[in-house]
Amino acid sequence: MCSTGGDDGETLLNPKPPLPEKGTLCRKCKTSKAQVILQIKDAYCKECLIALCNHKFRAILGKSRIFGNEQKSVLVAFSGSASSLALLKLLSDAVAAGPSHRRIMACPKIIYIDEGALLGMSAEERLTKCKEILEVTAGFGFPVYAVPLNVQDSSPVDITNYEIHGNTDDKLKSLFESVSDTTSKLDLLNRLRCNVLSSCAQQLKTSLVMLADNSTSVAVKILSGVSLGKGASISLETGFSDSRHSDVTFLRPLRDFTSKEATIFSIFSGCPKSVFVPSLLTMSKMDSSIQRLTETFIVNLQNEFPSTVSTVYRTGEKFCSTPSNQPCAFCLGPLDTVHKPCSALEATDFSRELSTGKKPESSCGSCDCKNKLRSTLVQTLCYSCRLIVCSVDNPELLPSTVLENAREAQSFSKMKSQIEEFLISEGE
Amino acid sequence: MGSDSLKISVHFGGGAEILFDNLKQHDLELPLDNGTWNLKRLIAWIRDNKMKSKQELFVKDDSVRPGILVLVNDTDWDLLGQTEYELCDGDQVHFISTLHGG
Repeated sequence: MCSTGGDDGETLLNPKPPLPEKGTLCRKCKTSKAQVILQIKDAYCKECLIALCNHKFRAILGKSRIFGNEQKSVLVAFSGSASSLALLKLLSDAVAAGPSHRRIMACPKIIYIDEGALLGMSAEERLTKCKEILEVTAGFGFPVYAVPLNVQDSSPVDITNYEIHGNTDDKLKSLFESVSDTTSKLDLLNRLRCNVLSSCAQQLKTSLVMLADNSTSVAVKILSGVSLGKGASISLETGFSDSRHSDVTFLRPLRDFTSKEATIFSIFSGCPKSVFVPSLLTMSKMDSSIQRLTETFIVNLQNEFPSTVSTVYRTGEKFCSTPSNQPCAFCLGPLDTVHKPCSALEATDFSRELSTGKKPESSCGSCDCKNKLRSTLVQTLCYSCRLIVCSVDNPELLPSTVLENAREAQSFSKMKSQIEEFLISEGE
Repeated sequence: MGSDSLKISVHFGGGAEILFDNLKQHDLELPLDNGTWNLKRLIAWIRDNKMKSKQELFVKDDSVRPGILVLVNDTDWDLLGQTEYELCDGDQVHFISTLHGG
């Protein structure tokens, strides 16, 4: 909070110091001319930058002790972006390294999620994108799979055999068309992506999924997560490892790399050029969604004050999640919707009641809806997933796994309330 | 010698190419009759001559929009004086968007 006399405020808001002179030497080897400058004054030549990134990557994975002495299968989520390419290259080099160079014992498989149906891309365009993805990933020598973004579970197939099935896309399109605003659409898209990746990892018999989130995108997720009511799950969504899905752990080994670092690494290390895959955010207006607004805010501020991203990132690292008995039926995160006295949720509901003049339904505190499915569903969801589901017109279109989880959670809590008096609580 | 135009190659990546008809590489010949070309002048020229709309997605004030990396001959423009860098014949300029990636 505000400290008297401390210079925390000053250090955070220091604008960019003057740029270094031309011909500056690399700060590491001090012999070659620097080719890139990171953060404020760290100038590196090409070779030293590559070495630095490789070292950082292997140190993060080594410290986590996730990879031991035996080969472990890992699924790498590939989106075509420079960060995805950097992740692949770093992992590929780490796997091929000698034992004295901190080799990582991993067996990577690459997966690409085809989200073309959402944007109305034609089958031909989507298959062309798959071909482009294959072109850039083939050189790494790992198997490449493709899977369509879907409401029900789809199986990942070898990308060369990938086919488009129009009827399964219709359900996805109807779901997204029934969502009222772009913010909720993007949130829903992220949820679906995680669920698809988790399901594919299980089908491909891997327990690890690597995501290419860099520190800039983590900082954006932290701030927009706070705006979206995700306080309970921010630490899981932005941390190094996320084990919400029972058999699958999501890893973010690039979270210490800035977007500039990851992009420059992918260029300097000779990766193929990134593939641009259109998304809901492409060409969108600055104020079209909370996520877009947050990204613009952070990136613009970072330009003037280069410690912005690292400050948000470091603050976000201090968040933690309080586990709950039942996970949220959608994101599998902790439930934060128990009405405790003086809780933020109680205050939010009270505000809503005052401003809309309507008493919240006792079963659904988030919106004034009559849909029976929705009102039973929201009881099994965390606050931010409730907001998504309340913006979906027809909750029957939600993924079947979510509806199943919700049914299970409902019957579990029903059963618990029936036998509650016979249960010995922890206090006794 | 003494050519009357500056030949450079401009590359767009990371999604920036969709603002330029999806063309990743543009070979340009810039006239030298009005003084030297620096990156500031080049960016303004690109905005005025290569973009029909959405200029705000590439340009901000006199420079590129934050989130777009600029490399000249594989060197970060932060080490070359940013917009003040003077272009030479044969320079390869890369504009790479780092926004909504991962």
